[in-house]
Amino acid sequence: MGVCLRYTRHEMEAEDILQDAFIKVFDHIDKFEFKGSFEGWIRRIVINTALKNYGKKSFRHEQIGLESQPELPLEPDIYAHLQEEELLRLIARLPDGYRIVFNLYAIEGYNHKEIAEMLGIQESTSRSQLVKARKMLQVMITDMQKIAV
Amino acid sequence: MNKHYPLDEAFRKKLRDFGPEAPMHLWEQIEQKRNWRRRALNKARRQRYVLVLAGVLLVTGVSWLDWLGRQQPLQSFPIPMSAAPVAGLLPAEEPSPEISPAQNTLSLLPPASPVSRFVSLPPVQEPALQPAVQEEVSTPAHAPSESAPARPVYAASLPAVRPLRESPAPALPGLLEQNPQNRPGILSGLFSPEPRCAEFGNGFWSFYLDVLASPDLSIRQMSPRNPEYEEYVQSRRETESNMYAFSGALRLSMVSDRGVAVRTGLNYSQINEKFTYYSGSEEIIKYINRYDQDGNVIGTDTVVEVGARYKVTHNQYRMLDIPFLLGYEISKGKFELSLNAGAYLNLLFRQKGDFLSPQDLRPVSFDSGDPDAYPAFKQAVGVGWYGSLGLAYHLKPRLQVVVEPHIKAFPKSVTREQFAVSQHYLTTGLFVGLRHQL
Repeated sequence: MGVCLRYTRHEMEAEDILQDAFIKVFDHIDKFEFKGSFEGWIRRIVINTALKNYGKKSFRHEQIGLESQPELPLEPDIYAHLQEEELLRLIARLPDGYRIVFNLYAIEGYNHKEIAEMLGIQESTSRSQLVKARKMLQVMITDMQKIAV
Repeated sequence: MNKHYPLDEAFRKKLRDFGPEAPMHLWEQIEQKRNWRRRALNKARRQRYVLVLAGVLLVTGVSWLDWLGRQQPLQSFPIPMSAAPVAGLLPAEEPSPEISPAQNTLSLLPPASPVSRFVSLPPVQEPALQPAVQEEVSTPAHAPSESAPARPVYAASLPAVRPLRESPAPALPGLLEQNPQNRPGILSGLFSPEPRCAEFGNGFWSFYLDVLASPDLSIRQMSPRNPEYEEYVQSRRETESNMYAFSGALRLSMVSDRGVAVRTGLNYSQINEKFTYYSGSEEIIKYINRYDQDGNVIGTDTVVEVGARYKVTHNQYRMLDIPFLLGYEISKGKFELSLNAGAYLNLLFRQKGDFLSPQDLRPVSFDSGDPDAYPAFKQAVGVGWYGSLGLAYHLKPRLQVVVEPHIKAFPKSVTREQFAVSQHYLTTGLFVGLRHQL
């Protein structure tokens, strides 16, 4: 469920994806070849199901202006205070393209070449989406800190 | 992965294995979906292109067989009923060995002759009739025999199946003498080729293009997926009301001469509803300064305005469908009555508007074009059913005006399965439009 929540904006959408993904898992469980971990296999199916929800259009509606912003120096321990639910909410506020690339790169551990193949986009697009996602997250975290202070 | 980037690292550490429990109802729904029917549907969905192709081949095959069944060899072409008056023209005492009642064919003529429907007739004695008769004379099928050297050959419409010998010979020539003004009309009716004859070989399907529009009446059915949402459904019913609905269709029809019709095309329909939300009374306090002639404030009036505040939104539900209809048509004079039924495959379902949120009963927006809006509705609603009774009137030979009361229903809910309520639409209306024969 956590994987689904990271790729969507709404909990209902996440439930839809989880449901579809598990129906696929049950339907194709005979195709699992016991070569890797079962959890990894399921995770891959869930991610693929989530990605199917978003087409290439997700990468066209980019927010502009973030490139010109300097990266904000944040204290490393600032993240330690953030709870998982807060981080999920921050990710959910990202535009679709940013959110998907950030999830795939930063959390799942795919490189840009793999992401580009998975999403059918250019590697450069993946890189720029990741940079913008990081900047946007930093801005949001900074704002949260200001409010807390 | 860039492990040196602290932000990435922080998110990965905290979220990689973070997973709240999936709600129990989700597993129940997965179980329900995995029943045999669901699996069968899944298989059908995976092979939908094969099924569509098979359907098209089936229809084509049936049409082809139907067409083949109507391709009768010319030597066995039936003699139509209108042959009876022709028999009247034959002298009763003259044997007519060329007519074979058992086969209803003119066996004297060569079997492969393309003019086997010509009948040899005695010459008409009256001189005044001769020119009129000659106007109706067709090309002779063969040279006149010696026994009847002056006998011309007339083209006749012969769809009957009765033996010509059975008919007594009425004195039609005598009648013609008495009513000379009727001669051309009678002879024209007798000897002009049957209209269907001209269509022979053109196939048995006619193609029509329909352009239709309809005012509709939509009936919405809402039911909670869980008893705890009963109150929510009630609130939705109280805050949403029907406004108007309409639809338009561009349809291609293929109609066989037996009356079987196959129709497809594009159908657009739109349902409009009104969402009215009472957001309580509102109090507006206005402070109005009063000034003297020099512009100095000499006092302040306080005005309090109290009123009810409503949020009113016009909700829109739009559908684009492909109809697959089978019909049967009956002709009566200039009128054609048709009965149609079939499936509507929904291509797109788009919606925009506001409704109450199931969480807090506050207004939220839904918009299929906005990913941030509340995701309550599906993007397509599957297959619906359609039935109609059509009446067409021929304005011109190839143009008809069509009136078609219809009913359409989508059995599947238009809302997502995770949403609190299921919502169905049944639409009825009256298509009015034009049909053009292609």
